[in-house]
Amino acid sequence: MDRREFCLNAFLASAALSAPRICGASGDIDGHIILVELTGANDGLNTVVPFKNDRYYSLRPEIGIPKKDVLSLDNDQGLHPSLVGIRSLYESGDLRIFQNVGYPEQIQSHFRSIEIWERGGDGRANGREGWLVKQLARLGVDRFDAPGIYLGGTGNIFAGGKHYLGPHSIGKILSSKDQGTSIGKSSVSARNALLASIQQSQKNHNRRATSIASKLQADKTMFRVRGRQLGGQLRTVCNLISANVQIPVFKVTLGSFDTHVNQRNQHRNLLRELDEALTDTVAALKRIGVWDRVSIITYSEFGRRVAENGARGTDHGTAAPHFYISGHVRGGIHGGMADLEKLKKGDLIFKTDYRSVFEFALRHHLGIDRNIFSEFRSIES
Amino acid sequence: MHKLGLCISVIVMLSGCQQSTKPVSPAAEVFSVVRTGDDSHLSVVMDTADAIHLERRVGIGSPKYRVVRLIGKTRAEAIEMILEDLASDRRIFGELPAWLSHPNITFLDNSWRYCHRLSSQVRIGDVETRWMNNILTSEAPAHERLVLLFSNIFVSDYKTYESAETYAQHHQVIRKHSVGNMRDFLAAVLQDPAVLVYLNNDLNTRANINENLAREYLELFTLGEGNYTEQDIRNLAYVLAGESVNPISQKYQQFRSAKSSLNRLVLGREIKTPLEAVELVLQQPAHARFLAKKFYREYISLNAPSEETVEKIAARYFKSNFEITDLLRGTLSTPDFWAEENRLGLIKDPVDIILGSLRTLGYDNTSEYDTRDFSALFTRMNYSLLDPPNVAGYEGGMSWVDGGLFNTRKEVLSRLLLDDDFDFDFENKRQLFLGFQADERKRLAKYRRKLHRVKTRAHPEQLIIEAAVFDSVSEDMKKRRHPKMTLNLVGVHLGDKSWDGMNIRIGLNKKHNYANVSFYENSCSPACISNFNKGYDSDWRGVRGFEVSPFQSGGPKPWLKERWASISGQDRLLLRRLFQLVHLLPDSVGNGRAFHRGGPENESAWMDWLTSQRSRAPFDDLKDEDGKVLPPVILLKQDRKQGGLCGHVLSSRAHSSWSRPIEGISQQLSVSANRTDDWISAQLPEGLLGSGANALERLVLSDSFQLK
Repeated sequence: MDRREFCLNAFLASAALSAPRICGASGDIDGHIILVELTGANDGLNTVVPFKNDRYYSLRPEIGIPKKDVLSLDNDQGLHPSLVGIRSLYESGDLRIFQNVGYPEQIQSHFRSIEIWERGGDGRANGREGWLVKQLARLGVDRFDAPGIYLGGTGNIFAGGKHYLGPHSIGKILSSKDQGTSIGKSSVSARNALLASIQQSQKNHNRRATSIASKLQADKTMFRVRGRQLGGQLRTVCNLISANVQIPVFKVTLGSFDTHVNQRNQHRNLLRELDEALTDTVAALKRIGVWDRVSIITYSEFGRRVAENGARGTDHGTAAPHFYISGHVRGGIHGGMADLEKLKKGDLIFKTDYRSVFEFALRHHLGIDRNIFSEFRSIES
Repeated sequence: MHKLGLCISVIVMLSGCQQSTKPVSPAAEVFSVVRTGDDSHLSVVMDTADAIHLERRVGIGSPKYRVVRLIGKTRAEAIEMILEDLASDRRIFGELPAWLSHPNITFLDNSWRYCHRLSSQVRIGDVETRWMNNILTSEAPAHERLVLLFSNIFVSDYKTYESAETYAQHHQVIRKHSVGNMRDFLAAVLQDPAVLVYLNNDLNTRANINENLAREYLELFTLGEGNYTEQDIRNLAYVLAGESVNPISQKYQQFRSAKSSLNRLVLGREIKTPLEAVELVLQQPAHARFLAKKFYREYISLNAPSEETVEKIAARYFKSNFEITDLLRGTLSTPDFWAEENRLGLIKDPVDIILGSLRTLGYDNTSEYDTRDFSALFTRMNYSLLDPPNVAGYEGGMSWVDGGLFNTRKEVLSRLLLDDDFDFDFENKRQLFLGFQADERKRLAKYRRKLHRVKTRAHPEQLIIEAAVFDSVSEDMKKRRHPKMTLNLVGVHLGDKSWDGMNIRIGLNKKHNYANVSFYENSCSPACISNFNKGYDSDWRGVRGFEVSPFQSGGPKPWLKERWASISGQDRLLLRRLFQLVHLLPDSVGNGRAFHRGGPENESAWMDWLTSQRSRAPFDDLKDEDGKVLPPVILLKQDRKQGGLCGHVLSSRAHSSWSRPIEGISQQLSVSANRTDDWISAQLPEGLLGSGANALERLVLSDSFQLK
């Protein structure tokens, strides 16, 4: 059932009152992507654990997740014990795990590598602007209240874009709702084309801000999302979606996953927060009635070294598994397992280009068949 | 013969060569036909509005005393006055922070994070403060404008590498050459460690080509998109392979084994060296046009210039043999620069908003705001002097006011100009700062005296190490074929030679069964040994490696003995002394954690090995004249407060600047002189002022004050 059909049915079934909000005014967007940045580089092998592989335990004698604790997904691999909620999403077919995700010519500097993930490049060449910015510019950003908002970490994923919002935007928007009048007199700007265009763009900004503010103020729905870091960020996401604010892409951040020393507790706590926050978010989105229109995708600059490092931690690595959670995805594991037999300088060899995952999201979730990553198309629903 | 050789190798621009048989460069042909236009608009005598326009476009803000000196001059005279400022700017050379002489070595980041981070933060804060103070107090603001412009063309940043030294040197390259000649500028940029690292050229070796620098050099530095092919980039990347950085000195270093020895075809010409790549782009018509457009957008208008105007500016620059001041002269001399329709046709950048407004409307010792506040306010405007958003730099123009930034800028202006209480106790705070700095300098001097004492008393064959820490230790000593302990050494002295730092390894080769000391071509600064002729090619970034057994005449194999024989006696002495560190390991060096990491079994395996090596490399081979045994290696006692590794922190603090101009600010920039109602209302034409309680508020909060 596509969106139009879905909305029509909803409309027929009731008098707009109980219809999902996504079916509101014309120009509504086709879906939302929530990007979850696991900043600092998440340890993939302790997130999706190859518990049948003895080599895993011999390379990680201190920090390997004991077989008995693993939440098995199939005969060979399972999830970290913190990921209880995510495992039930797997069981309900709402989770697809992409294995061995990375890019050619891995760069192991945090900053440079996350920049690659956010700009759509690889170790050989990278773009200048966020890949989403490039993609959404093609769609035309005028149809949205804002093309994207980041609620944690950096806004680099929106580098080079216009009208993107940040963590403080919402508060600012709410506090300065009727700023529109402070713009200078038009008689003045008539003499200066530049001033006129600045004032015009300022009016547009204020119009967007006003639209978002009034939608948010009209919707009083409350959501509970657990998590010290992620909770607040994802609650805002739920509020924005619930208030029918037209933003296709949200970015939230959890970290730091840079677990060089004594990683066990740190990693456990972070994964627990991820699990609780995502579980609550999925519940909230179901309650709003948009769960089949949203996909939640994790990303991180790289995975970590296969062998533990002697300080009961792990150093910078390469490929890692990532979660793709959605009411509109075929559950399962894509890309097999981590291959611990064939390593390159102690690191995993990547098999799934991260751009093919994003390509899938753009095509499958935002309905953009020909997108900026089309050349990486390899994942079919 | 000599002259002919020159003509062939350099090909064009040398005088006297142009009439030779070699073809004239494509650019020379194009630009020779461009005629200079009518310059009558330059003989207009300037009024206040003209003078403010020139000053705030070409410099940073429009301080009253600088504007006044231009009024009544013709435009042509005023342009020359601006260019004379450039020629006499005392800030072009020198002024490098003194802490640079005590390099903060990046390898310490692994093993001595605390010192390194602390020291880096102090240092980069100092760079930013110096830069802002320069801008704020400049007598040659046109130079500061050029520095900003070229920092946004030859982009690098601090956060990628987190080395304040590298960034300071990058800034110095920009500062020095932005009033010089583009030929030297480009050559310097291609050897600028901040650029080489930022654009990954340290990863570019002939075996594993990285095109990043080659691409940006053509696209963002010199020609612009559409003026080269992908093949040009690929081939240029080969030419640039091996142009790298010594990770210890953080200075430019070329690695020969990473270099390609072939000629490569770039832009239709066979070239082999980076210098040829400079000459090559200069002779492309696209280069002068590229810069002419950049200058037009920086100085004249956000609208695209006419082709004719571009050709005029470009031709002037080309004919001057790539002098940047002539590029500026050409830009300021166009009718476009003076045209009414281009007045207030640019959007102020964040530097104009903060530092420019303060220069225009006064800043002095009574202001409570200092460079740390300015830095925080820049952040609010999504701006940072040191960390541009990406390799293309700031987009500028409308992006300065996009989104909510238009309002943010007004808030910033209001805070700076309307909320300042002007009750800062300058003299008192200055004394406090100077006292703090004097204490740090005393501690630093004490540390240096101590070191000097040790050095002068030492035997010429004693090795003195200021600080040693474990970088890493193999954690599976028993299983590995080449287990090793990697050490970071800071301040190494032997006889009359000194090294800032070394990253060496002591370990064993189980295949041929010998204990060794080993390092790479880039492991020491300056180089550990006189030559690497008998070394080996390492697969790591294409550098040469060297591994020998100093107490087995090189080692058990003939090639190892040859290797040992290939270096000088002094080199051999150094390597023997380094190996004798086995007597002091593990307890006398820092970061013992690394030694314990592999667990107790591994630790005892290493201890056994160290014991066996101690008898092989005795510690009593050095005696004084009286036959008394001297320790061959002296490790200075580590005292965090008194120097050693944290001497870097000492030296950073002792030499960093106060967060405001310490001598105070020129009377001419004072608030009282620059904040009169007359001067305030002169800033904008009648009718462009906004509403507000007083003249200052009406100016600062008006929409037009965001323009220049």
